[in-house]
Amino acid sequence: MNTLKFIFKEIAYSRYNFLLSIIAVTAGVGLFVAFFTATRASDRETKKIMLYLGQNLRIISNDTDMDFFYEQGYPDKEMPQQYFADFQNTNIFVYNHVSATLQKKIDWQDSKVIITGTSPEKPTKQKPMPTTYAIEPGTAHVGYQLAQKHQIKKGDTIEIDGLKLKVENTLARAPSEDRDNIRIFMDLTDAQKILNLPGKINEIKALECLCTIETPGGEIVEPEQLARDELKKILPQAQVLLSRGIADIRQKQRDMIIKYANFIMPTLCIVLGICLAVLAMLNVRQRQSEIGILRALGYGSCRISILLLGKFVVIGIVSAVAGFYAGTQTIMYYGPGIFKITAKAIQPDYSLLQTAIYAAVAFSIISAFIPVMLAISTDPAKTLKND
Amino acid sequence: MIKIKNLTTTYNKASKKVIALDDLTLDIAQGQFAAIQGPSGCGKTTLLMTIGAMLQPSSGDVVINNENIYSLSQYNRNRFRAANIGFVFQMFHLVPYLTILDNVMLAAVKKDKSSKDRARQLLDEFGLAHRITHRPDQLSTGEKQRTAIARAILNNPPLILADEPTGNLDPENAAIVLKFLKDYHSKGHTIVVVTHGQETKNIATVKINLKDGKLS
Repeated sequence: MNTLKFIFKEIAYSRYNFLLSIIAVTAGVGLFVAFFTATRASDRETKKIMLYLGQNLRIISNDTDMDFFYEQGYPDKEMPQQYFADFQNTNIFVYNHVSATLQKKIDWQDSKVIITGTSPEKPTKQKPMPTTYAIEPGTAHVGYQLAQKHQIKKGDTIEIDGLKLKVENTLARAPSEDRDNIRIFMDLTDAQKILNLPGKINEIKALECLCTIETPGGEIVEPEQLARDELKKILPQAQVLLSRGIADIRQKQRDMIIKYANFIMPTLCIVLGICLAVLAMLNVRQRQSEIGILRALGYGSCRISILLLGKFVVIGIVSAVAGFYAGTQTIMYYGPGIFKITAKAIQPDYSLLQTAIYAAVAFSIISAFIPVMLAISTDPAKTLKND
Repeated sequence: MIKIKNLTTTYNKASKKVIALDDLTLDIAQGQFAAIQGPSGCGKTTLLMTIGAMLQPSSGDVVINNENIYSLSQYNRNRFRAANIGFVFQMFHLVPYLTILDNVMLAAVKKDKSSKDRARQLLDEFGLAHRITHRPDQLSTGEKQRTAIARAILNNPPLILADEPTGNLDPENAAIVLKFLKDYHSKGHTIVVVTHGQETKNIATVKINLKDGKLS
């Protein structure tokens, strides 16, 4: 009788043991496939969410002295105001808020003041009603420190380099390290007049900015790189800096999930491996007489090992297919509800099937190996004695 | 046929050294029907398993047909056993998930058509032709033992080793089994039987009495 027929007859005979073994390995494979597919979906989702969360973009001139920028908090070089229009006219980016600013530190009445001119937000197709507060020309918002020092109140008029501005508001105290305490906010055109920089800006800020470009094949790329690549096309003389506060938190969450996976999957493998080993032990104990008689009939250890372990190869293959199907169906069913943004990208990954077969077969054999070897090494004479 | 020289087998039981066979020397000639007898625990089954190349002795030699079986490699010993020795056990030791025919065929050195034909022929001779597709759990104890004997003699081995082959059988089936063994012996084959039964002792040509691992 050939080996396969032998194995399948034994499987049919000890079907409950076989079924329990199948369930144990299928559960492992199914969870692995579901978890792996979910992790990849989560990865896509996180990246998409990071895109959707948007980046806080700071667009500054290419030739900005970055030492100055990081020290002072604003760029030392200006860009044409046209850049702002170009940025707003492109439909590549959508954002919650965009503004152009012109900032420069000057001496004013024995104080260091950062003149900060801001442009009004242009209504767009996506955002017909700008949400940000626009500063009216001829008005100013005075930082806390300046207002305190110079006794400036709402309704006062201040004069900076000959330009009179009505104080619309004085700002609340910002955190001590924040430069807003020494800023005077005004309309961009007023700042350009004071600083004698007509038609110039030195920064574009886009908050919660989202790049709408779809990459070929729906591939998800790092949002930072995508934003840089797309901006280069429309503002070649500018550079972009990103602050990623929320995105970083998401990234940390994702890293945490991966850490959990790295703990859960090996633990699961150990538990299921023990279950399978116990089932293998029960099976080979029942087959001790069979092993003994096979030895008496001249079968070698190698042949008997193949007969015993062959069953676990079958268990591995059947469980891999069943587990792949179960895991895939589970994630296909529940995945779209969990990963709403990338729902369409959740597809069966058939490359996992091959991996699952190899892994499940190896897992089954490794789990059964010790019980099988113990059974084979048991003295057959003891088994065959009349007890 | 079988030459046993200074055979000693010891094992440990509860940290105590037990001598199962103690410097045993004996010969069993070709064509003998030998009955090994003695009280429980005297080493009968140990001797049978040692003759059957199943139990490595602590010391001494077992020579069967001029082959010192424990000087052979494990592989060659397996092959020797398959070709030259047939086993019959009290507990039958049939593989429960195989049919009767497949159980008999397990012993076939060559899994060819002639072996299968011989297996069918033996089962027919033993009155089991109508049972060949049945599994062991569908047989009576007598039928199980007849199947085990058919398996033991499939390769027409020159030596049959039987460990209390009638111990689990009613007198009628025991008589059938003994008749088969007697017939096989009458064809010139050697039979070694461990037994407590008087009927077996009566047909034996040689009686080997063991006590505490020694001939008595």
